[in-house]
Amino acid sequence: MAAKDQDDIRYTQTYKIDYAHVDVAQLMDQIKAKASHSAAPDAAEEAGPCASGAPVWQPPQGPLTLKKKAKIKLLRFLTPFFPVMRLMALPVHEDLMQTNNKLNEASAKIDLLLHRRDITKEYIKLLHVLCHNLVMELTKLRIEHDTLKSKVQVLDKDFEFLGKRENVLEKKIVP
Amino acid sequence: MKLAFVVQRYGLDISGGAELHCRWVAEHLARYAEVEVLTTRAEDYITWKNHYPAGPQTINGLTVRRFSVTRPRRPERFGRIQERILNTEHRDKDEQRWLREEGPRAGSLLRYIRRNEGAYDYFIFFSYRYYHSYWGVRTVPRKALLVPTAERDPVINLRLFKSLFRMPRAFIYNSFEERDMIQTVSQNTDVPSVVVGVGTETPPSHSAERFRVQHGLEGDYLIYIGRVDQNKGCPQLFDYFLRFKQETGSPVKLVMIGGSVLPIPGHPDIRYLGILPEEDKFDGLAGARVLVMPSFYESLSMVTLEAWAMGKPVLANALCDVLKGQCRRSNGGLYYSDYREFREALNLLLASSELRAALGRNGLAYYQAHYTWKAIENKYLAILHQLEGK
Repeated sequence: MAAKDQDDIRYTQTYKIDYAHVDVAQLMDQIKAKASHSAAPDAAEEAGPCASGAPVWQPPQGPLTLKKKAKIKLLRFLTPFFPVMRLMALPVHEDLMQTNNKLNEASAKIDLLLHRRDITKEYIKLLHVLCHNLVMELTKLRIEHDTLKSKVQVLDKDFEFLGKRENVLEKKIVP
Repeated sequence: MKLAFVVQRYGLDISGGAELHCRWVAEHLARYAEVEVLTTRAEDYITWKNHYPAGPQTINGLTVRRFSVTRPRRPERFGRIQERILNTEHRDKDEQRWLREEGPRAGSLLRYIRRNEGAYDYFIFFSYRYYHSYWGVRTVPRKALLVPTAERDPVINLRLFKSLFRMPRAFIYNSFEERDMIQTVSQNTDVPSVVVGVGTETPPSHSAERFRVQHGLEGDYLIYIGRVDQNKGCPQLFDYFLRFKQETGSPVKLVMIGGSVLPIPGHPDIRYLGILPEEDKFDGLAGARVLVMPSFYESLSMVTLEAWAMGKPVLANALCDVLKGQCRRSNGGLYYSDYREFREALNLLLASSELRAALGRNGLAYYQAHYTWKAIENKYLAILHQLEGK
């Protein structure tokens, strides 16, 4: 048996596979576990291009056109002047940084205001719910009040009727 | 029963996924019902310019009625509108403008549907995102069946589609993942639906040896079939494959079949063969160890089904939930979500012929249960009869 075949068999034996009933989900769990174990050596091989995560292949950018050639030549010509250009651009850069800082501050303030607005919105929602519940409770109380009032009226009439009856009966017993 | 298949383009020379899907289903259902195809005169899906002659014609025994596109798409304007509606807050009016620009705008097709509603029992619309489906389904909602052919594409979250997805009489999905995605977007669980997909057939004879001799191939190879494109995940496949070779020293080759819009790395073990006839494609598949599917977006990968029909295992991109779901349901393929998983899965597949055979067997059984044309026809007929009974 060739050495490669023996390696293959050894490699396959590191997995538990029931060939009659292959369960891909279970097999993928084993593959994922093995892939995550192999993460450590990869990280250690920082020097290699693969371990650093940089792609081995990327689509090329296309042929060198006249425009690209001119750009490359211009860059080569200007390279010695870059320090002077940087020096000249320094005040503009500082202004830009200041503006950027101000914008950041403004952005932070806006975020704070938005946060407060959100809190206020939540309070308004709560108040709205509270008002709604209060109106509901008041309505219920009003209905209960009306019911009790009518019950009192009925009892009052019953009482009046019983009083009259009592008077009639008294007159019959004591003429 | 009389059925109308409504699709954006139609023709023997049109090989777009949804269009080909529609043609195959229409031709197969013609054995059980009277079938007509309603489509536009467009051939080019970028501009929808009128190309075919107007009026009815017969293609493979089916009557095809073509309607003129009144306004071709202006790709730059469309790109601007799409960019805006996908990345900024916008109004419903803007989404309608996007739909109008998306096209194909064939008012006469919609008028024909409205005037001839009574002449057909059902209208089967293909591809949810186009003008003809959006307005067509709204024109005949009680007779409309929608085959959305939806991918995990940001436009699916547009507001205008939420109402569309609640409107048809029934849905015919390509996969369970597609159904879940549309139901999540629109909460249309009460609309009757069935997961069908599309069938495929393998040629009665194929020869791996013929393919190897013809293209001078020796040793093990993986195969990729499809457009070599950024969206299909090909740059990532090139990168992973070359890293795999660098790290493991494996002699395996990568054979690529299909049109290319991307430069191919000039590595001796990456063999790009261009567009090949169907027969050669199946010969290539027969000789391959594994089919690799690196695509991020698929509503149903027909090539994956073809690989399973040939009893071949698949190594798919797990970031495409349809491919991952198909692999898990069939137990016919492995998947990867990063390079390490790709390396481990490919190592295992190349090392174990038993595993390849087992996965291939499972894939074949899955294909025979769900994706033979007989199974597909039966599912279509079942939903049509179910709707008739209601």
